Amino acid sequence: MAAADNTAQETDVPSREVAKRVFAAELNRATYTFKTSQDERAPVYVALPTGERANRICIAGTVTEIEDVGENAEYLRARVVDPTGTFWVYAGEYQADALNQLRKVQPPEFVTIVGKSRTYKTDDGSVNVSVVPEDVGAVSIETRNAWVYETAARTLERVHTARETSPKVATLAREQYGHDGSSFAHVAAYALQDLLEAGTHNPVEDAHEERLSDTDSDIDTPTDGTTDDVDESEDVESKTLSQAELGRQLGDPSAGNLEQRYAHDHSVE
Amino acid sequence: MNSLREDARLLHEQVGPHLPEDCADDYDVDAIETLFDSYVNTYRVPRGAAFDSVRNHVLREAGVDTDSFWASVRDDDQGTADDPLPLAECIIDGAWVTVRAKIVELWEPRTDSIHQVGLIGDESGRMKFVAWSKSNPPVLEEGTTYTFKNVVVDEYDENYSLKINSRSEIVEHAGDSPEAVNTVGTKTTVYEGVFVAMQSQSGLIRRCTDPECTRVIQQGECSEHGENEGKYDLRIKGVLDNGESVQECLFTAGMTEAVVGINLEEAMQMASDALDISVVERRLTEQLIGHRFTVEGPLLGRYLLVDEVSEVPGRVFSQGYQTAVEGLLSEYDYDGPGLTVENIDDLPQTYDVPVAAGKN
Repeated sequence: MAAADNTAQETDVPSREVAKRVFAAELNRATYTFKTSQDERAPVYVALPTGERANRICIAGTVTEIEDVGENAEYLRARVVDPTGTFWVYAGEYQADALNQLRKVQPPEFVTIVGKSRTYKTDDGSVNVSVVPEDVGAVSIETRNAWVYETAARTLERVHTARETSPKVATLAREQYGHDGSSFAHVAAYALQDLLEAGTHNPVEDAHEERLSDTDSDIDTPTDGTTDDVDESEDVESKTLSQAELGRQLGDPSAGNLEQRYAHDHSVE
Repeated sequence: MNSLREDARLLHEQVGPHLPEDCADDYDVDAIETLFDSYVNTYRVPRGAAFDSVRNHVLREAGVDTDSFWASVRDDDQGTADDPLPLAECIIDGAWVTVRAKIVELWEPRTDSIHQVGLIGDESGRMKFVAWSKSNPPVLEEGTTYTFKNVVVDEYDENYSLKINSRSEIVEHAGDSPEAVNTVGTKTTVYEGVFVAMQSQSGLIRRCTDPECTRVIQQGECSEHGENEGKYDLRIKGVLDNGESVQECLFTAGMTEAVVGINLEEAMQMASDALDISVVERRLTEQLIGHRFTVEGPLLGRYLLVDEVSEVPGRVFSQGYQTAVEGLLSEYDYDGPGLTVENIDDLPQTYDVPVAAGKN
């Protein structure tokens, strides 16, 4: 055990930025960027509407199309769709690893992407958000679903705690966006609802047209052996879940249990 | 606040057992109370300071060995011979502790001032120990269990070790005695996260062929031993990220095979087919990025040395999607409007209005 005596370690290694989990609906609204130091090489952060800053992000979804939009050199643009919207992912020669990895993706395919968010002003003055990937990995539907769940959890957490845990960014975000981002709790809830529907392995008819072709991957993935941790019977159980039941869980007033919901609301006012 | 009498009784309890017999009567509770009274009321010493002053006075006058007195006072909270402190709890720099552990490994001391150095272990974990030559410690044998009384915890860079000094007492235990440590545990850390980055010098690497050296060589040269063919090895240095923190992880060749199903021979074959050693790293990256792992192992500096790994993408759903989702929403008392994908873009924007019933 030669390594046991290596007490001297590099101590001033800059800490790596954590990859924030964020849905497309929120990231695409995160148009305000800032730095925490004058240093040219200081990291650029986006202010998430839910009140935290993000430099690195971790996203997942379905790649629905990839197009080379480069004029001279290869410059790939990928549409990556999550339950709440579309991430626009661009990779060129400076993202060599990601570019190589994207070339191998055959839409539709589930991927996880680690990268950074980038904003740019369009001619009409509005700000668009895109993703610059560092790495792209093809994943199974279980991994993608776990991301949806985790991202919903982080989003809800931010909505509830960012005001205390990152008050500066929360204040900044409120000033910049004119609201407190709490509506993204609904987005998280919507994504979770979508997860329950996805768990049925049925085509989701009323969702984005981009997502229609997911069903092939849904069926293929569990058979690859390595990712078979989800009990098949759970899927059967989800399938029997009625729409009313779903709505009840998600607090949809049109889905029944109105009295209970309003009683609950009232008790809080 | 205690009365002087109570303070006197407390102090007597502490110093009483250490007083030599011939002056035990000179320092009974009454005598100590009188001393307190004189310090506090006559000489106006604050109560807190008086306690320490009276104690030092008594120890000095009675000729008590202060080092062994303090060692035994500390002993009370830091393990005893009957109830030794687990190694995993030896994490207070400078604490005097009593532990019971087996010598796992002895290393070659680097200087003459060190009598023995190595690794000891009990059920809770392993730790480095150092016995200084000047303290005349007994010779310890690998594989034997000892009780180490009055050894001192030393911390350097968040790594803890035990120092055996001249006041330490070492008791050997027979291998078949109930005290003998059978299984040595490891202090391990568990981390779950998404594999977000492969670090350089991963995949197929070459290590210096010098038997004492395990450095990775680059461009056919070891920084210590010069030009060198190198011996192939397979490993992963990568980063897991759970959205709140990152953890750098080191996978040995065995763990690399466990996680990606490629062993050293296959990796060497891949490299020779491609005439390029870096294909291995690219292949590993491709297989790992974006996947979710739970790893377990001891921490070595910044790295978690993985000795168990599993890919469990759907672990949060082990009770079913519905249970997981219901659990999460109720955790936040979520009771908002149902959304459809059409109206996500027209979200009702709020300003300082709690979205969930119950709390904000």
